[in-house]
Amino acid sequence: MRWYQHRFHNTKALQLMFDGVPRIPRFAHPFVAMLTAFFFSRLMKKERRAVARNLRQITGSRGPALHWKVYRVFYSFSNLMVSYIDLPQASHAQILSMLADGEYGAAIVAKYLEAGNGVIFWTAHLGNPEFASRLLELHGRPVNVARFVEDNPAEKLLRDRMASGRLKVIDLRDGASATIELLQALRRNEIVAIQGDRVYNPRHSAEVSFFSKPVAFPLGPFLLSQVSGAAVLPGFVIRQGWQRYRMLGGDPILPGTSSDSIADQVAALVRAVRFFEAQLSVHSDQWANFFDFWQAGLHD
Amino acid sequence: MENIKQQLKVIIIQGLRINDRTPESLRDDQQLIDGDLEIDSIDILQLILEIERHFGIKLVDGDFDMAVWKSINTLAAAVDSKLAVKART
Repeated sequence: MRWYQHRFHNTKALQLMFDGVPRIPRFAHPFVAMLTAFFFSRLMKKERRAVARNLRQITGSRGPALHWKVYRVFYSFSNLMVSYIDLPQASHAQILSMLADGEYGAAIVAKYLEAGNGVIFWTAHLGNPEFASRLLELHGRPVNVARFVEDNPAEKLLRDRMASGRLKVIDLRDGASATIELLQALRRNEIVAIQGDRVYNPRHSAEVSFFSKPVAFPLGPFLLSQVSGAAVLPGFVIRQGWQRYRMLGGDPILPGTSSDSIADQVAALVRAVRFFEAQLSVHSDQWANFFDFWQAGLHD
Repeated sequence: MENIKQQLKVIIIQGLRINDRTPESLRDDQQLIDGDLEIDSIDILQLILEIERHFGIKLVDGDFDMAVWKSINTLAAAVDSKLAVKART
């Protein structure tokens, strides 16, 4: 299975960035990102059109205002990619110094870890999810990132760069053993992080109105919450300036216990999506989706 | 054990919302994974939820044994064993 990938997602382009950017003085990085964003936004026409369609759906913008927002998405993505250079080596103190207000929801995560059922961090391709993983590691518990691991050398290069002792990637392509591994991680009171804005298995998704148009989101995280008893904490790390971030956390979503477990999952999903929608309406320029979200829905 | 199998059949049909089969139509040696019920990894999680709630047991604690999910027979044996442990404690 393969999710959408653009043509520059290859090891040559990434290696060029990893080798080249550190040679440029730090103060110049934002300017280089501006130029890079402009260059790629012109070059990647298909992706630019898809981003424009998504942003039109979210913001209702048209004309120059929409073009500016589209450019901002490419700029945010440049920021995200550069973070792959700094984040792997960053110490805990450096990670915290990158937070705009020093607050990252530590008390809430700690509170739910105290219950002993683990925590499910529900995020999306909004802002910098890699930074979010690093923040979760600060709790001193293993962080299990659930994702479909692409058979792509570029993807492997990024994963290898972000690898750390506390971060474990659970490959959802492994089927039952992967889902059980996630359950066992939660039963060991660990943290599971999931990006909830990608549907890989349409059978286990539900359509939710999202910016007034129905779109499918996965139910799996909320089922996992029911089985484990873990609270789902929706949250996003939003960029606030160059390599500066802010954690936006929603209200914890506790697992429903009614006799209709699937209805409970859908109700929990709707709560998470509403929080996502609220944050996306403000930070739409940080949503790294380069395909038509409402039409694609599913991977190719 | 027969009683457990019957309950599991109902849980499978109702819990997974299988509309084209009935509990009575499931055989005891009905293959669960890679069989015609097309049970996938998320279905297994859903079944764990329904079984644990229904029987008041922890079906998955410690190592996960995929052989448990081979058929209704093997699943019933695992539930029976967990119920026996529960009864002793």
